[in-house]
Amino acid sequence: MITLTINGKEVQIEDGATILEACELAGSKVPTLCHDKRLLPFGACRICLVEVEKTRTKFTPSCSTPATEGMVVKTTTPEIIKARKTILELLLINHPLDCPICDKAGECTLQELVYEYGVSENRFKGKKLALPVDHLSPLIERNLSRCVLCGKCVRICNEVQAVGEISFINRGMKTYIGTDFDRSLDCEFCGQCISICPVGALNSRLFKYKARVWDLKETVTLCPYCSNGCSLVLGVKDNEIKRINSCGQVGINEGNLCSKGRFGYEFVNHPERLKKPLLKKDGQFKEVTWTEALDFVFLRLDKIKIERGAGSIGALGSARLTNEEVYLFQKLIGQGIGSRHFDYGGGYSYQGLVGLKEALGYAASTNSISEIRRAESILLLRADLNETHPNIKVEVNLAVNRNKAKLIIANYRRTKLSPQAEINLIYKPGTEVTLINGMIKVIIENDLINKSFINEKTEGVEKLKLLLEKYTPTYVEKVCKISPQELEKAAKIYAKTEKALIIVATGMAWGGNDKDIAYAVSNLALITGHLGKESTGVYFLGEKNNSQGVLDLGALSRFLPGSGSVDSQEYRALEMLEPGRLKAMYIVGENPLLTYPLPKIKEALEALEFLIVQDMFMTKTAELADVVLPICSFAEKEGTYTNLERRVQKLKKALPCLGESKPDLEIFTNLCRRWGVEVPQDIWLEIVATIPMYKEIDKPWGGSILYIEKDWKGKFIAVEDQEISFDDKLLLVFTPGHLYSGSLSAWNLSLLKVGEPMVEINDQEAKRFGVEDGDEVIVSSKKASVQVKVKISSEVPKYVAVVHLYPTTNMVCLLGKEMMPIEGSIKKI
Amino acid sequence: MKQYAPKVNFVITIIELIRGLLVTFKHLFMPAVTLQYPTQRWKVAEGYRGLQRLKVDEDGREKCVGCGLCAKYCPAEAIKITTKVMDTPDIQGYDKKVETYVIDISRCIFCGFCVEACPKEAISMSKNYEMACYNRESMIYDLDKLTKELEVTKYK
Repeated sequence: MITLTINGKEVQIEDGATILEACELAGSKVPTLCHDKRLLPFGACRICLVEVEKTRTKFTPSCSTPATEGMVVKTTTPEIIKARKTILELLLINHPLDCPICDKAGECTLQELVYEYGVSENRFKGKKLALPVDHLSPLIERNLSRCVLCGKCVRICNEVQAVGEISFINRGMKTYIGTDFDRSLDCEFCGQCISICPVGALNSRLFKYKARVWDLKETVTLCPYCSNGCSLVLGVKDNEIKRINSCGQVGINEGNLCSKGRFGYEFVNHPERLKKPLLKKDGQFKEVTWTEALDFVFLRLDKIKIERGAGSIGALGSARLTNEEVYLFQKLIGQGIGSRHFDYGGGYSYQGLVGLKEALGYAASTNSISEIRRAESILLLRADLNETHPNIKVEVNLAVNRNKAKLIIANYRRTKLSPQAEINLIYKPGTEVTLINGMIKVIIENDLINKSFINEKTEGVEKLKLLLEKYTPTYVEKVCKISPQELEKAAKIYAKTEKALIIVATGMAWGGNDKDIAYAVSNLALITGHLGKESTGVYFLGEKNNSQGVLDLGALSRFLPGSGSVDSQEYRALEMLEPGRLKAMYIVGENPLLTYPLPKIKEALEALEFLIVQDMFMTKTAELADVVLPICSFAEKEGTYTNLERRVQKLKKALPCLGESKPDLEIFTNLCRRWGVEVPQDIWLEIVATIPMYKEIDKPWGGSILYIEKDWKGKFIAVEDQEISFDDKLLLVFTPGHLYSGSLSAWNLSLLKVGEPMVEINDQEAKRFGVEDGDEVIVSSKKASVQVKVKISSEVPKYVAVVHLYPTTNMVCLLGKEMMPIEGSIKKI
Repeated sequence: MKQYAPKVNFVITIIELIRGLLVTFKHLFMPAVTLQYPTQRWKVAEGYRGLQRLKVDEDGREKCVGCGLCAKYCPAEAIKITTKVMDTPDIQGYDKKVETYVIDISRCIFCGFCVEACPKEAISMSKNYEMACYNRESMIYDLDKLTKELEVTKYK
C-alpha cells in the first residue's frame, strides 16, 4: 500500500493503481472522456490531466500514470482549467451542433463537460468535416462526425468482446472510426460500443428518436435470456420499454450486455401478446373472464383427477419461471392435484447438473463467474459461448488476453472463439466422454495426478483406473479423430496449471449424454485436484435464465407424493408426451410442439382430453389447447432468479401487466387455494424455511467456491460413451443458433434479421451430396426430416453436418429422444 | 324627552345635491372607459404572452426539430412531444420528425419558459388570449391547432 496526497488529502492505495483511481478514492472528481473501468488505460483525450509536484512535465494524464509513494497531486488549478477548456474547444471544432436531434443529449459526457467548463465561444475556426452517417447497419447507427476519437468503442470491441469489428482509420485530422473498406457492420451486434460511447456517435436504431433520456423512468432488473444473470436498466416511458441500457455499478456483469439482452425487448410490447384468457368453444377460441377460465380449469382437472386418478395429469414447467413460481407450481401439482408427473426442459436439459450432484454433491457449477478471468487454463467442452452465453465468453476472453490463460477448446467444429485458443480439439460428435477419459489416462500415465487430493478428498479412483486401461491415445484417436499429440498437449496443459477450470454448455442443441459428460468432467477435475480453490472447478452453463433455480426448487421436488426417486424415467417429460400416456396436461411457458424431440408430439397433444397452456403468445402448442391463460413478461412481475453461479437475484417490476395478463404466481395461488393448498403471503420466506441452501439474496448459495469443507469427499464415477462407432458416416449435430427455441427471441423482429434456418457443411461433403452454397435441401435422419438452406463453411470438419436451430420448425426431431448425434443425409430439392 | 332635530337649511341641501349630480352629469360628456367587448378589443402590449405558436419557415415546414427542451423546461408539464425517424432524411441530412406536439392549455401557465428554452426559436407566444371553450378536450392543442392561423370571430 502506498500513500499519496490528493488536493491536500492523504489516501492509501495498493501498488500499481493509477492516479485517477487514487483521486476517486479521495473523493476528488477528475473528468475523463476515454477512460472506462473495464478497459486498459489509453490516454487519448487528455482531459484527465492533473498537476503533480516535482515532475518534468507541466501536466500528467492521471488515467495512465501509476501512483507512486509520496506524490502530491492537484486536480484543479487555473492552468488545468484553461487546458481542459482548450481541449474542449479543439473537440468542438469538428463536433456538429446536433444536440437537439442527438439521442445522447442528457447523458452526453461532452455536453456535461462543455457546460461545466463554460465553453461558450470557440477561438478556433475551421471547416467541419462532414463525414457520412452509416444508416445501413442493422441495430447500430454510426454518426462519424460526432465522434471525439476517444477509441472506447474500438477498445471494448477488441479487448472485451474479442471481435475487433471497428478500428481507427487514417491519421491526424482525417482520422475516423470505421470498418475495413467502409462496409456496414457485420458483427454480433452486442451493442457494447453504443453503451460505452461518451457522445452520440454510436446510437441504437431501436431507440432512435423514441424518447428523450430524461423522460425515461429507469428500473434495474434481470435479463430474461441466458443463465448469466446480467442486470439490465430498463428505460420506460408511457408504459413501454423504450430502450435497455447497462450500468457498471449494479449487478454482476460490470455493464456488459449481449445483443439479446440489449436489443431483445420488443417482445414485451408485441401486438400479438395475449391479453385475455381464451377458452376453446366449438373449435374456436373465445375471450373469457379470469373467473370463468379458472373455474373451468379447476372443475375439469378435478373431474379428471377423481375419475381417472391423479396420475393421469401431468405438468410441464419452464426454466424461465421465477423461483417463487416454480415452487408454487410443483406444490400445486404435487400436493394440490397429487400427481408425480412434473418436469421441464424436455427432461434432459438439466441432467448434466444432476450428474454433478452424484459425483460431487451439489447440482450446480462449483465456482463463480468473476473467477474465470483469473484462470490460467480453461477447458471449454462442447460450448459455443458466442451464441449461448456471451458474457461468459467475455470472461474467457479476459482470461486469455489479460491473464495469459491457455484456452483449450474441444468442440466438433471451429467457433468464433477458436482463434483465441491454444489448442482446438475437433472431435467426432458424441465422443466427449472418450475424449475426457483419454485426457485422464494421459494425466495418469505422466504422473500428473494430485496424489494428496485424491487420498484425502476422493474415493473410487481404483475403479476408474481399471476402466481407463484401454483409453490409450491411439484408441482415442480412432474414436474421436484427434491426434495423440494434441490430446497429450491438452491434458498436460490442464494438469500442469494451478488454476484450471472446465466449462461445459448445456441447452437445446445437446443433451443426450450430459450426465455422462458430467461424470467424466468431474473425474478430470478430481484427479488433478482442481476443485475447491479459486479459479478452478467445473461449470455447467444452464441455458435459460432460471435453469439453476428451477432445478434447485422444482425438478428434484419435495412435494410429490409417494416414495422412490423422482428421477425415475417414467416421470420424465419425454415419457409424459407419449401418445395416450396422460389424459390432461398443464403446460407453462414451454412450446413442446416446436422444441421437443418427439416425432409424434402433435398426436400426443391432440390425444389429450384436456390441455391447458399458460404462455405470453399464441404458440403452436397453445393452438391445440383447450384453455389458454395469458401471463406477463419478466418486466411486469416480481420474483427471484438464480443464475449459473448459484446467486439469487431479485427482479423488479417496471411495467404494469399488459391487458389482463397475470403473473404465473397469481394464477398458481388461485388454483392452489381451490385445492386447499396453503399459500403463504411471502413465498420467499417459505422457500428460505424449507430449502436449506436458499438463505440470502445477491449472494451465491453455498459461498462463491463450493467444496471447501474439510470433510467433503468427491466420488469418481467411471463412465464410458454409450455407443461408439468407427465408421465414417455423416453425423447430424446442432448448434444453438442465435435464437435457440425462439420462445422470446423470435418475437423481436430486429433480431430475426440475424440468422436463418441452415445447415453448415464442409465443401467436401457438399461435393459428395451435390449441393452448392445457398441451395434449399432436405436434411433427414431416420427420425425426421427438415428443409433448410446450405452454407458451405471451412469451420466444419468432414463427416459432420451442423444444423442451425431456428424457431420456425421443430428441428430437434432430427435427433429423436436420445438427443445424440445421429446419422443423416442431405438431398437437394 | 324632547326630540332633537337639527336645523337644516333646505337650500344648502339642494345645492349639495346639485353639486353631486353635476359630477355625474359631467361624466355624461366624457368619453366612455368601457370597452365594448367583443365588438371592440383591447390592444395588448408588445411581448404579451398569449397562445403559443409554432413557427413555420419559408418552405412550409415547422422550425421545430423535436429536441424536447420546451417540454423539459415547462414548469406545469403542459407540453408533450413524441418524435420519430423520417424515412428519407431532408436536405441537410437530418431525419428527426416531430410526430405529435401537444400543449395542454388547461395546464399552461403562460410563463413563456418554452420560448426561452427553444434553441431554434421555433415557438413564440402570440397575442391571442381568447381560448375559452365548452369542454376540456378542446383545451388540448395539437400541432395542427398550434400552427394554423387562428380564426377570431368578428362581431359587428
